[in-house]
Amino acid sequence: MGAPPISNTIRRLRFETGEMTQKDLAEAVGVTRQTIVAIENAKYSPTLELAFKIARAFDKPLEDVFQYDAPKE
Amino acid sequence: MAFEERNTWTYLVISAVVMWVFGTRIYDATVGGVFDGVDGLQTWARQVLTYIPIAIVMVIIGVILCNIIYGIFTGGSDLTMKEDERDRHIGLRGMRVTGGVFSTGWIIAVILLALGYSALQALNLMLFSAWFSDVAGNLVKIFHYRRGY
Repeated sequence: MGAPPISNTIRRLRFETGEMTQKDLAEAVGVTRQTIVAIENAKYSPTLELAFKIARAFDKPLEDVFQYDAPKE
Repeated sequence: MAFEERNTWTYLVISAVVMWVFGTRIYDATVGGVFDGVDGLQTWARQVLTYIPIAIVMVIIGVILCNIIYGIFTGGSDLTMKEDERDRHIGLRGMRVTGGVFSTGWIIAVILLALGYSALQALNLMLFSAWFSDVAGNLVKIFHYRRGY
């Protein structure tokens, strides 16, 4: 299973948002802390719903939080 | 460690114990001829049906104890007890392997029957496949959890 082609700026946004912890973000969006860790490390791609919840937690547009790295053909 | 990963480790350990305890009993009974005769298969089925709820109770107790011990060692700081979408995705990957392994065992059992092996041998193979498929699925889940998926 290769790394998903979606990167994110969650770690930077957490620090910019009052140094929010992974646990705080996890509780805010309704997942476990381990899931937030996997998303930050680009090991796991969240569902659309979760992606929107995370973006809303930072009060940012989705594109500011997640970026799609199209695979080169 | 995620709640579901802790449970998966618990399932692996307990299933090994269950298979050892009950599997050896079934095997010894098979070799000892307990399941021979007219009512042999019925006797086999009754023993298996007796072991299944015992195994379920062992799993439940094991999961509870595991989470209590984990809570004590971590001071309750990381004691989440919920399943989220990532857990479900990993669970599906495990179930895919479980289904494949069990189906393979079932097909092999049918082949054995076609080759003239006894129904008891085929049933024991299916029972072993059920256990092994569960272990395989849990190992796949552990693999994904440990890789940080």
